[in-house]
Amino acid sequence: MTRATLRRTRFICLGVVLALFCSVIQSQPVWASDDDDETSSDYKDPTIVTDDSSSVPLGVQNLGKKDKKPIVEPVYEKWWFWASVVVVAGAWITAAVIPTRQKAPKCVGTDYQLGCIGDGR
Amino acid sequence: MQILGLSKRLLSVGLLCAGIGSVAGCGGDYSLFNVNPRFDPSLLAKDRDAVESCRLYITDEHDEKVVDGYPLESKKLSETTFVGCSGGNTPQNLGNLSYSSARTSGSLKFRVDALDHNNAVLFSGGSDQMQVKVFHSKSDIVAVDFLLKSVK
Repeated sequence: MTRATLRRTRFICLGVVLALFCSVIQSQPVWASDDDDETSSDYKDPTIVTDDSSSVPLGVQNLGKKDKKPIVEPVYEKWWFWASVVVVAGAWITAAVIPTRQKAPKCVGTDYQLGCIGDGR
Repeated sequence: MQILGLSKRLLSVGLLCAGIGSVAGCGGDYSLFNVNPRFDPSLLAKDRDAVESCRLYITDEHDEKVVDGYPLESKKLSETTFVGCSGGNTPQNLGNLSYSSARTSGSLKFRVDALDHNNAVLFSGGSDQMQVKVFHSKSDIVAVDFLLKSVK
């Protein structure tokens, strides 16, 4: 296994971490789900016409308008979100900056009369 | 919330993977070879006089070139002692050379050609496939000794 292979493996591993991290973010809904609307007590069947019906039935008046609900517990307010950001960023910077492999010591003295060559130094 | 819990677990696994990957990337990761080519002792000094230069070739286990013709240049160690190859001054023992490799597995094969002034190969010799050994101590240095013989 060469140095380049090990470095590639490590970057793939870090890529997996990033992908997992993204999956965490995606699993957190930014907007509240609209599924609750139908269970609301204000809901009226637009097809039923009652005595106090106007030209536009109440149930139809706001049809098509979807009110966006405020963000409930946004992901960026979670402590683990920022902890994850710091860990992932730290790992990435470490991988990029710190030399990952030890190198052979430099050629010193007269142990090797013809010198020292190779990509291990 | 269950999905979120699962994602947190996945994140933990991912971070663990990053940690292991980072740790696995550390450590001594090179190998050393002590290459010592010599001319066949049965050859006379006058046979070596025609040698102008010597070149080192290294190939890996897939027969791919790793070092392609590194010149073993002549060096004067003392008034009477030389190493390497040069016209009229090529010793029987060419001297030794340290080859370091970033490889931690596989094997390497070493060969030295001695050439005349027309770059024709007069003598050649090489090693078997030498197993790469990760260096931890001096005992891990792989000795590569071989003899150069006439190609004619």
